[in-house]
Amino acid sequence: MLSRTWIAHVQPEWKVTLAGSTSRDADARSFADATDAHLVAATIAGHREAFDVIVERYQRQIYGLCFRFLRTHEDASDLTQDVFIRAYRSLPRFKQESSLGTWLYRIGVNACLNRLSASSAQDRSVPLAETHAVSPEESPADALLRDERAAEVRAAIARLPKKQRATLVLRAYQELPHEQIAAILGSSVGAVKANFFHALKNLKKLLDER
Amino acid sequence: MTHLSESEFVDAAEGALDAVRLAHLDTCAACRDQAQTVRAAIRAATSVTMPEPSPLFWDHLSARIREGIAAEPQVRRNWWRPRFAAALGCAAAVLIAVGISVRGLPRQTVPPHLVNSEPPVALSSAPIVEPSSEAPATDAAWALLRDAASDMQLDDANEAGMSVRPGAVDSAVLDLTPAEREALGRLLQDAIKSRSGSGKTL
Repeated sequence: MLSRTWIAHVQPEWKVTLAGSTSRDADARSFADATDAHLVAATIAGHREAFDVIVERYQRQIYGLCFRFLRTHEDASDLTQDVFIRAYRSLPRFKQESSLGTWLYRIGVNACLNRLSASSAQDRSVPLAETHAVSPEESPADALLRDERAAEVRAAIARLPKKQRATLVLRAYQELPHEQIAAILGSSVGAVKANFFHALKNLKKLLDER
Repeated sequence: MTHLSESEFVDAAEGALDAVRLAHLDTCAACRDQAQTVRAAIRAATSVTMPEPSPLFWDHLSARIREGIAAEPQVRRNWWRPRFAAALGCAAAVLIAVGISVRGLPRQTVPPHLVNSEPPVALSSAPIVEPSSEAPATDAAWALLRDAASDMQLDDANEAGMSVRPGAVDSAVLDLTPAEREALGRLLQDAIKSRSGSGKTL
Protein backbone atom coordinates (compact mmCIF):
# COMPACT_ATOMS: atom_id res chain seq x y z
CA MET A 1 0.00 0.00 0.00
CA LEU A 2 1.27 3.43 -0.82
CA SER A 3 1.95 5.40 2.27
CA ARG A 4 1.71 8.89 0.92
CA THR A 5 -0.69 11.00 -1.01
CA TRP A 6 0.59 12.03 -4.37
CA ILE A 7 -1.33 14.50 -6.42
CA ALA A 8 0.13 14.87 -9.83
CA HIS A 9 -1.04 17.34 -12.42
CA VAL A 10 0.27 15.41 -15.38
CA GLN A 11 -1.91 17.42 -17.68
CA PRO A 12 -4.06 20.36 -16.67
CA GLU A 13 -7.23 18.33 -16.91
CA TRP A 14 -5.79 15.23 -15.22
CA LYS A 15 -5.63 14.75 -11.52
CA VAL A 16 -3.97 11.54 -10.39
CA THR A 17 -4.44 10.74 -6.74
CA LEU A 18 -2.89 7.74 -5.10
CA ALA A 19 -4.72 7.17 -1.87
CA GLY A 20 -3.09 6.51 1.45
CA SER A 21 -1.47 8.90 3.86
CA THR A 22 0.70 8.88 6.90
CA SER A 23 -0.07 10.43 10.22
CA ARG A 24 2.81 12.79 9.51
CA ASP A 25 0.97 14.10 6.47
CA ALA A 26 -2.09 14.62 8.61
CA ASP A 27 0.00 16.43 11.21
CA ALA A 28 1.55 18.58 8.53
CA ARG A 29 -1.92 19.50 7.30
CA SER A 30 -2.86 20.50 10.82
CA PHE A 31 0.02 22.99 10.75
CA ALA A 32 -0.86 24.29 7.31
CA ASP A 33 -2.44 27.50 8.59
CA ALA A 34 -0.04 28.09 11.45
CA THR A 35 2.05 31.24 11.54
CA ASP A 36 5.76 31.01 10.93
CA ALA A 37 6.42 31.66 14.61
CA HIS A 38 4.19 28.75 15.60
CA LEU A 39 5.87 26.49 13.08
CA VAL A 40 9.28 27.37 14.47
CA ALA A 41 8.13 26.73 18.04
CA ALA A 42 6.45 23.45 17.06
CA THR A 43 9.56 22.24 15.23
CA ILE A 44 11.73 22.94 18.25
CA ALA A 45 9.16 21.21 20.44
CA GLY A 46 9.74 18.06 18.40
CA HIS A 47 7.13 18.28 15.62
CA ARG A 48 9.21 17.72 12.51
CA GLU A 49 6.08 17.88 10.39
CA ALA A 50 5.86 21.58 11.27
CA PHE A 51 9.16 22.02 9.49
CA ASP A 52 7.65 20.28 6.45
CA VAL A 53 5.21 23.18 6.26
CA ILE A 54 8.08 25.66 6.45
CA VAL A 55 9.71 23.83 3.55
CA GLU A 56 6.49 23.88 1.54
CA ARG A 57 6.11 27.57 2.24
CA TYR A 58 9.60 28.71 1.26
CA GLN A 59 11.13 26.12 -1.05
CA ARG A 60 10.19 28.00 -4.22
CA GLN A 61 11.88 31.20 -3.08
CA ILE A 62 15.00 29.44 -1.90
CA TYR A 63 15.22 27.28 -5.01
CA GLY A 64 14.77 30.38 -7.19
CA LEU A 65 17.56 32.13 -5.32
CA CYS A 66 19.87 29.13 -5.64
CA PHE A 67 19.07 28.73 -9.32
CA ARG A 68 19.88 32.37 -10.05
CA PHE A 69 23.27 31.96 -8.41
CA LEU A 70 24.22 28.47 -9.56
CA ARG A 71 22.37 28.34 -12.88
CA THR A 72 21.76 24.62 -13.02
CA HIS A 73 18.78 22.66 -11.80
CA GLU A 74 20.91 20.01 -10.08
CA ASP A 75 23.08 22.47 -8.18
CA ALA A 76 20.09 24.57 -7.19
CA SER A 77 18.21 21.49 -5.91
CA ASP A 78 21.24 20.29 -3.93
CA LEU A 79 21.80 23.67 -2.37
CA THR A 80 18.11 24.18 -1.57
CA GLN A 81 18.17 20.95 0.42
CA ASP A 82 21.37 22.08 2.11
CA VAL A 83 19.86 25.46 3.02
CA PHE A 84 16.84 23.86 4.70
CA ILE A 85 18.99 21.37 6.61
CA ARG A 86 21.18 24.23 7.85
CA ALA A 87 18.05 26.14 8.82
CA TYR A 88 16.69 23.13 10.70
CA ARG A 89 19.91 22.76 12.66
CA SER A 90 20.03 26.47 13.47
CA LEU A 91 16.35 26.86 14.30
CA PRO A 92 16.85 26.96 18.10
CA ARG A 93 19.13 29.96 17.60
CA PHE A 94 16.62 31.81 15.38
CA LYS A 95 15.59 34.75 17.56
CA GLN A 96 12.75 35.91 15.30
CA GLU A 97 14.21 39.39 15.15
CA SER A 98 13.58 39.19 11.42
CA SER A 99 10.94 37.26 9.55
CA LEU A 100 11.50 33.57 8.92
CA GLY A 101 11.65 34.30 5.19
CA THR A 102 14.38 36.90 5.66
CA TRP A 103 16.33 34.50 7.86
CA LEU A 104 16.04 31.70 5.31
CA TYR A 105 17.11 34.04 2.52
CA ARG A 106 20.11 35.04 4.61
CA ILE A 107 21.12 31.41 5.01
CA GLY A 108 20.49 30.91 1.30
CA VAL A 109 22.57 33.87 0.15
CA ASN A 110 25.46 32.82 2.39
CA ALA A 111 25.23 29.25 1.12
CA CYS A 112 25.19 30.41 -2.50
CA LEU A 113 28.15 32.74 -2.05
CA ASN A 114 30.10 30.05 -0.21
CA ARG A 115 29.32 27.54 -2.93
CA LEU A 116 30.50 29.97 -5.58
CA SER A 117 33.69 30.56 -3.67
CA ALA A 118 34.30 26.85 -3.29
CA SER A 119 33.70 26.00 -6.91
CA SER A 120 33.82 27.63 -10.27
CA ALA A 121 30.12 27.18 -10.76
CA GLN A 122 29.78 30.70 -12.06
CA ASP A 123 31.78 29.72 -15.14
CA ARG A 124 29.63 26.77 -15.94
CA SER A 125 27.63 26.97 -19.09
CA VAL A 126 23.95 26.17 -19.06
CA PRO A 127 22.47 23.83 -21.64
CA LEU A 128 20.28 25.86 -23.92
CA ALA A 129 17.41 23.43 -23.61
CA GLU A 130 17.26 24.21 -19.93
CA THR A 131 16.99 27.92 -20.33
CA HIS A 132 13.75 28.55 -22.16
CA ALA A 133 10.90 26.70 -23.66
CA VAL A 134 10.20 27.78 -27.21
CA SER A 135 6.83 29.43 -27.42
CA PRO A 136 4.59 28.53 -30.36
CA GLU A 137 4.67 32.03 -31.81
CA GLU A 138 8.47 32.24 -31.70
CA SER A 139 10.62 30.98 -34.55
CA PRO A 140 13.52 28.65 -33.72
CA ALA A 141 15.93 31.33 -34.90
CA ASP A 142 14.40 33.90 -32.58
CA ALA A 143 14.48 31.43 -29.71
CA LEU A 144 18.15 30.73 -30.36
CA LEU A 145 18.94 34.42 -30.46
CA ARG A 146 17.08 35.00 -27.23
CA ASP A 147 18.86 32.11 -25.53
CA GLU A 148 22.21 33.45 -26.63
CA ARG A 149 21.34 36.84 -25.25
CA ALA A 150 20.16 35.27 -22.00
CA ALA A 151 23.43 33.34 -21.72
CA GLU A 152 25.34 36.60 -22.18
CA VAL A 153 23.34 38.29 -19.43
CA ARG A 154 23.85 35.35 -17.06
CA ALA A 155 27.56 35.31 -17.78
CA ALA A 156 27.78 39.04 -17.14
CA ILE A 157 25.89 38.73 -13.85
CA ALA A 158 28.25 35.93 -12.82
CA ARG A 159 31.15 38.34 -13.21
CA LEU A 160 29.73 40.92 -10.83
CA PRO A 161 31.24 41.28 -7.36
CA LYS A 162 29.48 39.02 -4.87
CA LYS A 163 27.54 41.64 -2.97
CA GLN A 164 26.38 43.37 -6.16
CA ARG A 165 25.35 40.02 -7.56
CA ALA A 166 23.43 39.11 -4.43
CA THR A 167 21.67 42.47 -4.43
CA LEU A 168 20.78 42.16 -8.12
CA VAL A 169 19.38 38.64 -7.68
CA LEU A 170 17.34 39.57 -4.61
CA ARG A 171 15.96 42.73 -6.20
CA ALA A 172 15.55 41.95 -9.90
CA TYR A 173 14.62 38.26 -9.67
CA GLN A 174 13.29 37.66 -6.18
CA GLU A 175 11.66 41.10 -6.25
CA LEU A 176 12.25 41.69 -2.57
CA PRO A 177 11.86 45.19 -1.14
CA HIS A 178 15.06 47.08 -0.45
CA GLU A 179 14.36 46.95 3.28
CA GLN A 180 14.26 43.16 3.30
CA ILE A 181 17.38 42.92 1.17
CA ALA A 182 19.11 45.18 3.68
CA ALA A 183 18.05 42.83 6.49
CA ILE A 184 19.26 39.79 4.55
CA LEU A 185 22.62 41.26 3.67
CA GLY A 186 23.09 43.04 6.99
CA SER A 187 23.40 46.50 5.50
CA SER A 188 21.40 49.69 5.20
CA VAL A 189 18.75 50.48 2.61
CA GLY A 190 21.01 53.18 1.20
CA ALA A 191 23.85 50.70 0.81
CA VAL A 192 21.52 48.22 -0.90
CA LYS A 193 20.39 50.83 -3.40
CA ALA A 194 23.97 51.90 -4.03
CA ASN A 195 24.97 48.26 -4.57
CA PHE A 196 22.07 47.76 -6.91
CA PHE A 197 23.02 50.86 -8.85
CA HIS A 198 26.63 49.69 -9.26
CA ALA A 199 25.48 46.17 -10.15
CA LEU A 200 23.30 47.56 -12.94
CA LYS A 201 25.97 49.93 -14.18
CA ASN A 202 28.57 47.15 -14.26
CA LEU A 203 26.13 44.78 -15.91
CA LYS A 204 25.46 47.26 -18.70
CA LYS A 205 29.18 47.83 -19.14
CA LEU A 206 29.90 44.09 -19.35
CA LEU A 207 27.10 43.57 -21.87
CA ASP A 208 28.31 46.45 -24.01
CA GLU A 209 31.81 44.96 -24.08
CA ARG A 210 30.56 41.86 -25.85
CA MET B 1 20.16 71.50 -8.57
CA THR B 2 22.50 68.67 -7.60
CA HIS B 3 22.84 65.52 -9.66
CA LEU B 4 20.89 62.44 -8.66
CA SER B 5 22.53 60.15 -6.12
CA GLU B 6 23.02 56.41 -6.68
CA SER B 7 19.93 55.69 -4.60
CA GLU B 8 17.92 58.23 -6.55
CA PHE B 9 18.86 56.63 -9.86
CA VAL B 10 17.48 53.35 -8.52
CA ASP B 11 14.35 55.11 -7.28
CA ALA B 12 13.95 56.80 -10.67
CA ALA B 13 14.22 53.48 -12.51
CA GLU B 14 11.69 51.91 -10.15
CA GLY B 15 9.30 54.85 -10.37
CA ALA B 16 9.79 55.82 -6.75
CA LEU B 17 11.57 59.15 -7.15
CA ASP B 18 9.71 62.25 -6.05
CA ALA B 19 8.56 64.72 -8.69
CA VAL B 20 11.00 67.47 -7.75
CA ARG B 21 14.06 65.27 -8.20
CA LEU B 22 12.55 63.63 -11.24
CA ALA B 23 12.29 67.05 -12.88
CA HIS B 24 16.06 67.29 -12.71
CA LEU B 25 16.29 64.60 -15.38
CA ASP B 26 14.61 66.95 -17.85
CA THR B 27 17.37 69.50 -17.49
CA CYS B 28 20.47 67.37 -16.89
CA ALA B 29 21.77 65.29 -19.80
CA ALA B 30 24.38 63.49 -17.69
CA CYS B 31 21.80 62.27 -15.19
CA ARG B 32 19.41 61.40 -18.00
CA ASP B 33 22.06 59.18 -19.63
CA GLN B 34 22.83 57.51 -16.34
CA ALA B 35 19.15 56.87 -15.67
CA GLN B 36 18.80 55.30 -19.13
CA THR B 37 21.78 53.03 -18.43
CA VAL B 38 20.18 51.83 -15.20
CA ARG B 39 16.84 51.21 -16.88
CA ALA B 40 18.48 49.32 -19.77
CA ALA B 41 20.38 47.11 -17.34
CA ILE B 42 17.20 46.29 -15.43
CA ARG B 43 15.49 45.38 -18.70
CA ALA B 44 18.40 43.13 -19.70
CA ALA B 45 18.50 41.41 -16.31
CA THR B 46 14.79 40.80 -16.07
CA SER B 47 14.60 39.49 -19.65
CA VAL B 48 16.27 36.30 -18.43
CA THR B 49 13.48 34.28 -16.93
CA MET B 50 13.91 31.18 -14.83
CA PRO B 51 12.52 28.03 -16.43
CA GLU B 52 9.59 26.88 -14.33
CA PRO B 53 10.18 23.33 -13.11
CA SER B 54 7.51 20.73 -13.69
CA PRO B 55 4.70 20.67 -11.13
CA LEU B 56 5.97 17.36 -9.77
CA PHE B 57 9.36 18.87 -9.10
CA TRP B 58 8.22 20.67 -5.95
CA ASP B 59 6.84 17.47 -4.45
CA HIS B 60 10.09 15.71 -5.19
CA LEU B 61 12.15 18.54 -3.76
CA SER B 62 10.16 18.74 -0.53
CA ALA B 63 10.33 14.93 -0.18
CA ARG B 64 14.07 15.09 -0.66
CA ILE B 65 14.43 17.84 1.93
CA ARG B 66 12.24 15.84 4.30
CA GLU B 67 14.54 12.86 3.92
CA GLY B 68 17.51 15.04 4.70
CA ILE B 69 15.81 16.43 7.79
CA ALA B 70 14.83 12.93 8.93
CA ALA B 71 18.51 12.03 9.05
CA GLU B 72 19.17 14.94 11.40
CA PRO B 73 18.92 14.64 15.17
CA GLN B 74 15.89 16.34 16.73
CA VAL B 75 16.61 20.01 17.36
CA ARG B 76 16.14 21.26 20.90
CA ARG B 77 16.03 24.65 22.52
CA ASN B 78 19.14 25.15 24.63
CA TRP B 79 18.38 24.50 28.28
CA TRP B 80 19.47 27.92 29.36
CA ARG B 81 17.36 30.91 28.81
CA PRO B 82 18.98 34.33 28.33
CA ARG B 83 18.10 35.48 31.85
CA PHE B 84 19.48 32.32 33.36
CA ALA B 85 22.56 32.52 31.18
CA ALA B 86 23.18 36.09 32.38
CA ALA B 87 22.96 34.95 36.00
CA LEU B 88 25.25 32.06 35.21
CA GLY B 89 27.69 34.50 33.63
CA CYS B 90 27.80 36.61 36.78
CA ALA B 91 28.28 33.55 38.95
CA ALA B 92 31.04 32.27 36.71
CA ALA B 93 32.83 35.61 36.79
CA VAL B 94 32.72 35.66 40.60
CA LEU B 95 33.94 32.09 40.82
CA ILE B 96 36.83 32.76 38.46
CA ALA B 97 37.78 35.91 40.36
CA VAL B 98 37.68 34.11 43.69
CA GLY B 99 39.59 31.15 42.37
CA ILE B 100 42.35 33.44 41.18
CA SER B 101 42.37 35.44 44.39
CA VAL B 102 42.59 32.35 46.57
CA ARG B 103 45.55 31.13 44.58
CA GLY B 104 47.15 34.55 44.81
CA LEU B 105 46.98 34.73 48.63
CA PRO B 106 50.26 34.38 50.54
CA ARG B 107 50.49 30.82 51.82
CA GLN B 108 51.79 29.58 55.09
CA THR B 109 53.52 26.29 55.20
CA VAL B 110 52.32 23.79 57.70
CA PRO B 111 54.63 20.90 58.54
CA PRO B 112 53.03 17.65 57.40
CA HIS B 113 53.19 16.11 60.80
CA LEU B 114 50.95 18.83 62.18
CA VAL B 115 48.14 18.28 59.74
CA ASN B 116 45.18 16.42 61.21
CA SER B 117 47.03 16.01 64.47
CA GLU B 118 46.30 17.18 67.94
CA PRO B 119 45.82 20.92 68.48
CA PRO B 120 49.13 22.74 68.13
CA VAL B 121 50.98 23.74 71.18
CA ALA B 122 52.36 27.22 70.62
CA LEU B 123 54.78 26.25 67.89
CA SER B 124 54.41 29.62 66.32
CA SER B 125 52.55 32.82 66.88
CA ALA B 126 51.26 32.72 63.30
CA PRO B 127 47.84 31.17 62.80
CA ILE B 128 47.79 27.73 61.28
CA VAL B 129 45.96 27.45 57.99
CA GLU B 130 43.16 24.94 57.96
CA PRO B 131 44.21 22.16 55.60
CA SER B 132 40.83 22.18 53.88
CA SER B 133 40.64 25.91 53.34
CA GLU B 134 41.79 26.05 49.72
CA ALA B 135 41.61 22.82 47.80
CA PRO B 136 37.93 21.95 48.35
CA ALA B 137 36.86 25.51 47.56
CA THR B 138 38.74 25.72 44.28
CA ASP B 139 37.84 22.16 43.32
CA ALA B 140 34.17 22.79 43.96
CA ALA B 141 34.33 26.08 42.14
CA TRP B 142 36.02 24.49 39.19
CA ALA B 143 33.56 21.61 39.12
CA LEU B 144 30.68 24.06 39.23
CA LEU B 145 32.12 26.04 36.34
CA ARG B 146 32.96 22.94 34.37
CA ASP B 147 29.44 21.54 34.77
CA ALA B 148 27.83 24.82 33.86
CA ALA B 149 29.98 25.36 30.81
CA SER B 150 30.08 21.77 29.59
CA ASP B 151 27.62 22.29 26.78
CA MET B 152 27.87 26.02 26.47
CA GLN B 153 28.40 27.37 22.97
CA LEU B 154 30.59 30.33 22.23
CA ASP B 155 27.78 32.37 20.69
CA ASP B 156 25.54 31.80 23.70
CA ALA B 157 28.31 32.72 26.11
CA ASN B 158 28.94 35.95 24.24
CA GLU B 159 25.23 36.75 24.15
CA ALA B 160 25.05 36.18 27.89
CA GLY B 161 27.76 38.77 28.38
CA MET B 162 30.24 36.20 29.63
CA SER B 163 33.07 37.37 27.46
CA VAL B 164 35.59 39.67 29.13
CA ARG B 165 38.74 41.31 27.96
CA PRO B 166 41.80 39.10 28.36
CA GLY B 167 43.25 39.64 31.80
CA ALA B 168 40.29 41.70 33.01
CA VAL B 169 39.50 39.35 35.88
CA ASP B 170 43.15 39.09 36.91
CA SER B 171 43.58 42.83 37.05
CA ALA B 172 40.31 43.23 38.97
CA VAL B 173 41.43 40.74 41.58
CA LEU B 174 44.89 42.27 41.83
CA ASP B 175 43.24 45.58 42.69
CA LEU B 176 41.72 44.04 45.83
CA THR B 177 43.43 44.45 49.17
CA PRO B 178 44.52 41.25 50.93
CA ALA B 179 41.63 41.67 53.36
CA GLU B 180 39.16 42.05 50.51
CA ARG B 181 40.50 38.95 48.80
CA GLU B 182 40.18 37.01 52.00
CA ALA B 183 36.60 38.22 52.44
CA LEU B 184 35.78 37.27 48.87
CA GLY B 185 37.23 33.82 49.44
CA ARG B 186 35.09 33.37 52.53
CA LEU B 187 31.97 34.44 50.64
CA LEU B 188 32.68 31.90 47.94
CA GLN B 189 33.20 29.10 50.42
CA ASP B 190 29.98 29.98 52.23
CA ALA B 191 28.08 30.06 48.95
CA ILE B 192 29.41 26.70 47.86
CA LYS B 193 28.77 25.10 51.23
CA SER B 194 25.22 26.40 51.36
CA ARG B 195 24.57 25.13 47.82
CA SER B 196 26.06 21.76 48.61
CA GLY B 197 23.99 21.58 51.79
CA SER B 198 20.69 22.45 50.15
CA GLY B 199 21.34 20.25 47.13
CA LYS B 200 20.71 23.14 44.76
CA THR B 201 22.25 23.22 41.39
CA LEU B 202 22.71 25.98 38.93
